[in-house]
Formats: sequence, C-alpha cells, structure tokens
Amino acid sequence: MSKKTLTLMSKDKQLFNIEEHLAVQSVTIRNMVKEDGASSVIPLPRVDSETLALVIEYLNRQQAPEEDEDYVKKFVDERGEIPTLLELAQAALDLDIKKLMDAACMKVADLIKDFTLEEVREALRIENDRTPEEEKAIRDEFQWAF
Amino acid sequence: MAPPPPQLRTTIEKLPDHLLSNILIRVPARTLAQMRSVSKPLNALLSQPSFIKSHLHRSIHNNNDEILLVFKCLLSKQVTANPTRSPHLELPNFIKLPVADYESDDYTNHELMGAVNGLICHLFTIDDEYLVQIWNPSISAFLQLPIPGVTGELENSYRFGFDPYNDDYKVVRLAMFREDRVPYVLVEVFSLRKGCWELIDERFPAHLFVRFENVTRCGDDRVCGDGHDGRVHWLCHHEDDFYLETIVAFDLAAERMSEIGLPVVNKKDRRNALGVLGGKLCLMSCLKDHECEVWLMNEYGNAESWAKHHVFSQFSANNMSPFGFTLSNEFLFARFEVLSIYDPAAAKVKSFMFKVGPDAKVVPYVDSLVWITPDKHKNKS
Repeated sequence: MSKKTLTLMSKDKQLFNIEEHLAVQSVTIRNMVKEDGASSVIPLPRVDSETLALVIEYLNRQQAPEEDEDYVKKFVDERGEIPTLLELAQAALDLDIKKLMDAACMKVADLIKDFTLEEVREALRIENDRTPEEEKAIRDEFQWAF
Repeated sequence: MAPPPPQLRTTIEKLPDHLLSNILIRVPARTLAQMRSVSKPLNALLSQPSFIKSHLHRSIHNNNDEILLVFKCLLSKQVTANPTRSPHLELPNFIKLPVADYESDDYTNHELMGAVNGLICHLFTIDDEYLVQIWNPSISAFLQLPIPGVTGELENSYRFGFDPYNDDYKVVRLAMFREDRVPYVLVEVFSLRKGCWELIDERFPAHLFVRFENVTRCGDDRVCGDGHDGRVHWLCHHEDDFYLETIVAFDLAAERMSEIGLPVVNKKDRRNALGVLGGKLCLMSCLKDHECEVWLMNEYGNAESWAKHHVFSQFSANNMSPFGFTLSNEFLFARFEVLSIYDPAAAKVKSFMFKVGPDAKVVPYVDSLVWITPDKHKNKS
C-alpha cells in the first residue's frame, strides 16, 4: 500500500505535501482527516509559508522517540529569533502539535524573562498605555518584586 | 493577498491572548510581577484567576529542577537544596524571610505550619505573642494575620490548606483550654477571602488528644504537603491510651471534623508520621530495630483502603527519621541527621552534605503567582 499524501496550503497560497501518517501528529489535521477524509487540499489560512515549511520540517523528523525531546529543543533553539518563534508557536497552537508548541513557548519565555519592560513590549508587540506616573505607581506598589 | 489598509499597517498586530498566556505561564512569577507595568491589558491577563491557576499548575507538574527549601537546618538559617544539581546547601538569593528583625535572631522563634500552592504559612513567636503570616516567597509578598479571637489558650496547633470548593486558603487553629482540669479544644478558622478569624461550632473529638508537643509540625510530616486537596490532618492519640492513634481530618470547605483509622496498631515500638505521596495521604510507620513502612490511603476517608506501598528495609529505623515525599515522589529522610533523598524509581539514595536538626522542615518550592495582589503588603516595620 502506498503512503497517502496530504497537501497543506499556507496563508499565501503555497502548497506543501506531507505524508498523512506524519501530518496527523497535528491533532487539528487528524480531526480534519477523520471528518471528511481530507481528500483535497487543507487550507491553513493563519500560517504563512515560511512557518509552514518549518512545521513540515518538524513533522518530517526521523527521530527515535527517546531523542525526540532533545531534537525539538534544538529545533527551536536554531530558530532563536522571537518573531519566527512566535509564528511557530502560534502555528503549533492552531495545529495542536503539543511538543512543538511547548518548546517554542518555552524558548520565548526563556528569552523574555531577562528583558527590560520596553524590550518585552517590543517582543510581544504590546503598546505602552502606561504613563510614566502610572508605571512609577505600579513600581512603588510592587517594589518588593523589583 | 491584498495588502492591509494603510491605517492598519501602522498599528502593531497584537498577539492573541491564547498565545500570550501560553508563553507567560512559562515565565517565573517574580518576572511576571514586574511585567504588570508593561501595559493595562497585560496586567489584566496576568491577574486573571484562570491565568494564575494555569501558571501554578504548570510549575507544580513541570518541575524538572526541583528546589527544596530547608528550614531549621543545623548549620544555617533558611537554605535551599537542589536534588538534581548539587548535594550542597545553597544559600538562596530568592528567599528571604519577611520579618527583618528576626532574621538575625535566634531561629527557634520561627515555625512552619504548612505550605500549599507556593504559599507558606509560618509563625513567629515574639514575647509570647504569635505572629502568623502567609508568605509567597516567589513574589516576596506576605500577609500578616490578625490576632485570633480566642486567647488565653494553653496550647495551639495550626494547619494551613487550600479549599478548592471556595477557592480560598485557610488557616485552622486548635486552641486547647482547661477548665476544672478538664481539657477542651476550640477550633478557629482564618479565611484569606474573608480576611478574619472565625470561631466555628465544630468541636474537636473529645476523646482524642492532639500531640501538642508537635504543635507546629505541618501535617505531622516534615515535608509540608498537607492541605492541598481541601483537608488538613492531625495524628492524634486516644484519651485513655497514648499509643492508640487515629487521624483527625478537617474538611476546609464544610468545616467539619472526621476520624480516619490507621492501618497499623501502634505499639510502643512504632513511630508514626503522616505525609502526602502523589496527592494521597500516607502514613510513615517506623518499627524499632526494623524497617520503615509507607502506607498509602488509596480511597480518601476509607480506612479499608490503606495499602502497604513501600518498605524501606535497607535503613534501620533507629538511626533514620522519615520526613516525607517531594513533589516528584522521592522519599526524604534524615539518616544520622544527614538529609537524604531516595529515588524509588532508580532505587538510589543521595545524601546532602549537611545535617538537619530534629525540628527541621522541608518545603518543596513552587513558583507561584497565587495572591499576587495582597490586600496589604507591609514593608518591614
């Protein structure tokens, strides 16, 4: 029996082929395949092609189960840029690929924990809506944490 | 794909809250406390009870690098021990007792009463006056409890636990009095939500005695783990037979006492202590000149469900004293006063390079945001 192949389509309409038994590591894809056989193309309107290429690379890994933990850590370490990691984490969340999501979120958490407030805002794309006075008020209220 | 309209291009595309919380539950509590200044929506997210719970759940269950806080160690004051990294004591830079004046003084005035979800309940005795505090070392916040309503007692025994039904933390105090030589016990409960002590009608079983000499031990075991599932426990003895023991459980939600029988009949040659193993109540029972048995109560409240879980036959009970179990189910004990840890999966003992006194206590450190907005935070006064 030949292995069944699925086609995934990114937000920018690029197509990616992947063997079905590898693709169903994603719980979201597994459910879609179960529901309608997913004969045609599976659209992933929130994942861009660069990120999808990474996800496919991850799903295609040929790792012994006992090395998997190290592999996924190294996989996200090599993509240490926060914007890339955020895209990857979001895609892993949407597609429900737990290990990849865990590792990507953990990596971002590790990176931002030593950031200044301004750096945190930039990394997590948060607008500063605090006036300097408010910031000082919080700092005073929670001075034990600073 | 069509480019976004120009007015949207200048604003930053926000990250979905779901992604943000998945990242932030992996950030240490102290850093998160600082991140409250980042923005108002982020502050709101970090203060959500559901976020605080997810953060806590993760730090309890994904704790690969377990840290133990050791109190009343013989060599030093408050210290940490790290089973995976080093057999030595480490002086913590993140844990500082919240009463400045007493840090330099004699440590005998400090007692641990319990620890749950990263909160530690402890007591300082100052000139015969009790100061009870609930303390979160992760975020260096503490709350000093008001003075209990009933005073003039002969003895006190405290327990601390989480009431999941009311999502509340409670301190239970047994206060023993004597009238015409007849002892009686009043039960008072402090609720963190209510912020006050309340004397409750429920009476402590009259035919049982708390071992008040162990007044401050948490859950009778020395690894504070009691009180995590809405109940706290006392190991008590019968009025007419000191060696006949039974457990008194207090349900924090219903505020009711009940008795649970032990699986072994205590004789003079046994020393019993309560503990928690894998979320279940356990009894550590050491036989003189023999081994130490660990019994597990598989079905809570059912004395028939006690099962012998493990026998530590390799150590004579004469020179070892059981502490209890860590969050990763490793057995902590003192052997010739040296704190040691036994990993049942690997069947290996590891000894730490320090001694602990007979009243030492161990708290598994849990990074926690619980009660990030204390009603009042008193600075060292």
